[in-house]
Amino acid sequence: MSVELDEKEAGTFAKYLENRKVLIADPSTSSRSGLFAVFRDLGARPNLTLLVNTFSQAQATIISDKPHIVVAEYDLGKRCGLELLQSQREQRPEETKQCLFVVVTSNTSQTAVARSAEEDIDAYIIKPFTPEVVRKTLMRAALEKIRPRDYMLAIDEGKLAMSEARLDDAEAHFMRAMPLDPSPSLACYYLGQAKALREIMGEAQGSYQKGLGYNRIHYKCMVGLYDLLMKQREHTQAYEVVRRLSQYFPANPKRLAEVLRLAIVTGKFDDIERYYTIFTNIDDRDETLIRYVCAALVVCGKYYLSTKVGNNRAIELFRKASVTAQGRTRVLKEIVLALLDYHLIKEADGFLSKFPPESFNSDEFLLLRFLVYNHSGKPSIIIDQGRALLSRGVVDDRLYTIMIQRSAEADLGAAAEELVHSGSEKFPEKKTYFEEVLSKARKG
Amino acid sequence: MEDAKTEPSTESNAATEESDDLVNLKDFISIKLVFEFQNHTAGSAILRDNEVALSEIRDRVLVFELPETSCNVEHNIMLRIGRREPGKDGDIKVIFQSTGKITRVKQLRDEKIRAVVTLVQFDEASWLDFIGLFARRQDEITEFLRQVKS
Repeated sequence: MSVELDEKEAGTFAKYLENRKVLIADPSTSSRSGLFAVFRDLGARPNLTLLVNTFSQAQATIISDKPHIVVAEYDLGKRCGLELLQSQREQRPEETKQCLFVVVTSNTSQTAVARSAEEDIDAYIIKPFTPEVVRKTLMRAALEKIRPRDYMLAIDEGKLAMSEARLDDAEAHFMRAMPLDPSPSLACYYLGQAKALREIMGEAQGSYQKGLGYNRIHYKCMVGLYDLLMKQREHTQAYEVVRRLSQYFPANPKRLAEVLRLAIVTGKFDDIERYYTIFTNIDDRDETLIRYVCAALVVCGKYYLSTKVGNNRAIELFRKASVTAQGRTRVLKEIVLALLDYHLIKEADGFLSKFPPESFNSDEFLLLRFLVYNHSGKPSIIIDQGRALLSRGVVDDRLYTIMIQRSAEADLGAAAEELVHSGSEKFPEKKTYFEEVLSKARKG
Repeated sequence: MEDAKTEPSTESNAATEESDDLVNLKDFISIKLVFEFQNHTAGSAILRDNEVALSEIRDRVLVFELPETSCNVEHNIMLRIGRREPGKDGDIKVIFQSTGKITRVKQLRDEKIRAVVTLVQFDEASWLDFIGLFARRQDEITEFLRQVKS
């Protein structure tokens, strides 16, 4: 930290702290104790400083005591301390500028830092901390709020004007802010927003890009540009922006989903494969991330099947997806159905065997087994299996289609007609199709 | 733990380098420390990672959270701190070791104590490397947040 804070600033901060409630949420008793001491030394009142050790206690305290300052560990049991930020803002909606949210954590990873930055926290302090770093970081964060620079004041005035639909005034304030900071990316972002509200998209895009010219990792400018490009359906450019966004702000599951979706839309399948390679080395994979990666691999594999790039490459991606899915049956189901669509029966059967034993009696598994068996099994057994599924209450248009065809081929005319009737009730839009299947099967 | 010197390195290049990778593995890696804490005065068994948490660093002083019966004021201790190397099958490098004296003990909840250890005999360069590891990362983070918000 290079900023030297003089006694006057310390006094200002002590005055700010004087009547503020502080909540320290940290599972480590020693850390809580250390932070408490720093706050006390800075001027916080001990009786207004609340210490809790769990997420639920912190959540309850934010609601009951409405603290102005929340200091939270990032890894708060099974929950993330960042989730408390929204609660704090909800409890003090009018005083956001007077409140502080600080992460104090032993999680030094860039993913945690970037996620915190996305949430617009005021400070991020790593453990083990030195009291001096805590002091300086807190004071700097607080002083930025209680004594904002002219640049921030101009932006705030512009934001207010924009919220009141006074767009000329808003733009004037943002333009006034520009020369007040050597790197006015935030002013560029809000100017871009004002232009977008006026639907002058070219100028909005230019303003976001200008902001990124000053600061290539400016989060708001990147998000603004991305949203604008998506609105204009400029998928290739949007993909490049969101890809860059993901490099600087990794592991945001929602954004990763967007990256993967746009990679598919723009045909960047190699990126998905490369992403998978990196994904396999990540220890901390959450459920959402796993789901998105599996979905992307399956979609990518389906694409390879459809373009005949090579079935082997598709099957390799399906294999990776099935390993990643760790028995998640929805992923396996998608793979089996995709392979059946391309008459890769042996391969489909192979993936069927990857279903976990506990799913063997499920409707989903039995239906898939039936669909696979339909390609290689004895007709009488296929019909028996189909009847068993129908009597279990399984409703699936493919089941009806196969049963109509197989029953007609086995000269079970009445049964086939009944299946057309019952199938059409369940799937009215398929009535003509079922009738055609019956007619075709009868003709042999 | 394998003895070695710390190499000055940044934890993440996200803010400073353009990378072509969609996701960088190292972005997911946090600094992981491991500890060996031996109380010579009491002659008790060595305390390890799950029993030792380092909460504060001060000038030649470390503050730990320890089991309540592990030490008392004036006890002499031996401390070894290692860093778990990312992506090397959990290899651990010793990055700092020192003898020390317990100068303050505060009883905490959950049968724990907050023990202030004044370091006595250690290699000055290793100490500077050790505190620099966190100071550098803190500076990177502070700068990253500043850039994101500016």
